[in-house]
Amino acid sequence: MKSILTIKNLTFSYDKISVLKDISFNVSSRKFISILGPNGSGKTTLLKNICGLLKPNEGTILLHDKEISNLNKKDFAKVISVVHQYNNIGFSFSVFDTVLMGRFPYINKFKGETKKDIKIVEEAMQNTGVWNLRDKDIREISGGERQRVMIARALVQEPELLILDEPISNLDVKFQISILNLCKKLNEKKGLTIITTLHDINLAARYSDSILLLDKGQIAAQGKPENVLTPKNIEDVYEVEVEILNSEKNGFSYIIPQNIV
Amino acid sequence: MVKKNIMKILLLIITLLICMTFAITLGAVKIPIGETISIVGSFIKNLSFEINLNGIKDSNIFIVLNIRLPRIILTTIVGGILASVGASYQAIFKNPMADPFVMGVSSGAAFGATLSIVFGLNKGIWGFGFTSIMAFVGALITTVIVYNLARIGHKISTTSILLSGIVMSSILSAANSIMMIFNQDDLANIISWTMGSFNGANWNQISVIIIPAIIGLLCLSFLAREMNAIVMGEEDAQNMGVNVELVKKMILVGASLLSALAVSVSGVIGFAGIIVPHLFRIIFGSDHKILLPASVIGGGIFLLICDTLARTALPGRELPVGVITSVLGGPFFLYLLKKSKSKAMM
Repeated sequence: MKSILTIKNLTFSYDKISVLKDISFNVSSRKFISILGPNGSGKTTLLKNICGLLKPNEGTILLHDKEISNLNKKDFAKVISVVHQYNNIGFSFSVFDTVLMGRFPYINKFKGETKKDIKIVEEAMQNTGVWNLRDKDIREISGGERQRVMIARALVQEPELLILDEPISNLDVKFQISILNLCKKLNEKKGLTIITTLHDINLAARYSDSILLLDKGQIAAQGKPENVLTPKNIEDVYEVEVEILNSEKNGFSYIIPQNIV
Repeated sequence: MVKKNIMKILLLIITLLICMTFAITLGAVKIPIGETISIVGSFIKNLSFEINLNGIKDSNIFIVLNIRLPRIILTTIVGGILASVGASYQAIFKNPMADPFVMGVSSGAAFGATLSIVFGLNKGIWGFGFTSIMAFVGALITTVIVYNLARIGHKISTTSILLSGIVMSSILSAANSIMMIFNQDDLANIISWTMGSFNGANWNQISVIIIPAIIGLLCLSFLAREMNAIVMGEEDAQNMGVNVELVKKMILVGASLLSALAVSVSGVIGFAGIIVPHLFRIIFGSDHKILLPASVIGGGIFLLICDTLARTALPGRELPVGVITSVLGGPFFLYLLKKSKSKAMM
């Protein structure tokens, strides 16, 4: 299968503190990849290297066989779009204008936005279910709604690869499921490749084609969820004993922590 | 959407023109509005019809053309600069409290001006005086120092800029105070310069600042879309395809030059740079494509009203315009703050 992203021997350190060591993996086109690992294992740092915000000390990151540091920012933004973890927006913008900003790499400075841009924005907002919020102030909608708006903004960049950094961390279970369902729908219907970091092992197992398990800046395991999320791997990485239950109702496995007082 | 914005801008321009006309009529000598329009009309030579100035006193023509008109135009330009620079800084610092002087422009300019006054370099010079030049140079040197203090490699941290700006300002203010203590004779001059005034406004100053002002304001407006993206967060902006570091540098350089220019002709006028963009953020939202042009015109209107009050409020003497902006702006700002219930703030 065609690979969209190839990472070879990536090493990264903040000053002298080593964060990522010798990371290598391939992302095939149209896959849903989750990056798992304890706090501080380097998940976000890895994503920031991939999306060009940090420069690796060693190793290469290839996007369709091209070194990402050689791409200009606008061309990059047309292939990869990112939904970052924190967005405390302090200024008032309508939800519509916020999503429209995602068209930045396509908009000509002298001509302004075209009918086509507006159409793409409307379509993305319909797909993410935020069209009814279009005139609201971005600061006055709920966290779950805002996350959908951010995904809509990422979609109007018309990327091949969507990167999300802990998209469901601060959301209640309804919004968690709705955001992941949305990602899965985009993955399956639009052929969007998705890389996301997640904390919830069970949800990651349910949604991902492939899982990358990070531990102390190194890859502890990678591959299909059932091969990666074994009790042994989880105990090694998270230092928590777990048992795996198979649900008779829907055939999925659930990971249950054991040593709870 | 675009049409609505153009209407709003047109409305602001009309308001500005009305304010300008009234400002010319007001002053120690009241000049009727008809006369004012005739005089200004005849001054704009390429009007297609003849304007008859018979029966209008020569002194009135002189007052309008050589005193009030240049002053009003200069005030409008400075107001426009301060407000749009404020709006731009607020965008790149992602803080609605940033003003045009965050990079130490005001204290640098005050330091330069004080040096010039203390050493008597400005005596008897009219036009674009040496004090203005010293103020401009002082402002620029300070900004360069603040910029370099805040630079880490080729990146600039906005927090470090705010901090080093504050520190440089207090060092320079202290130096200023020392000069003032040892030069009691010049105290009145220094203080009145520091508080800001358009008392000496003339056509020379306008001809010097108008072209750089227009270029600078166009450059800032040209970056409106980038400012919108940066307000969303620098990482977000970069992943939307904005060259964040380059844009930040361009805005810092452009805005610093503009504010140094404004300060050099007017002295330090506080508040216009915060209150005007803030007001328009409440009215129009934060889209810089509309906010920047609205701030330019609105800043002009605001400062024009303040300066007109400064020169007409007390008979026979002028108040520093900086005092008026604060006296008028302060309570208005508090009112807005209360009314918007911190909604429009952070």
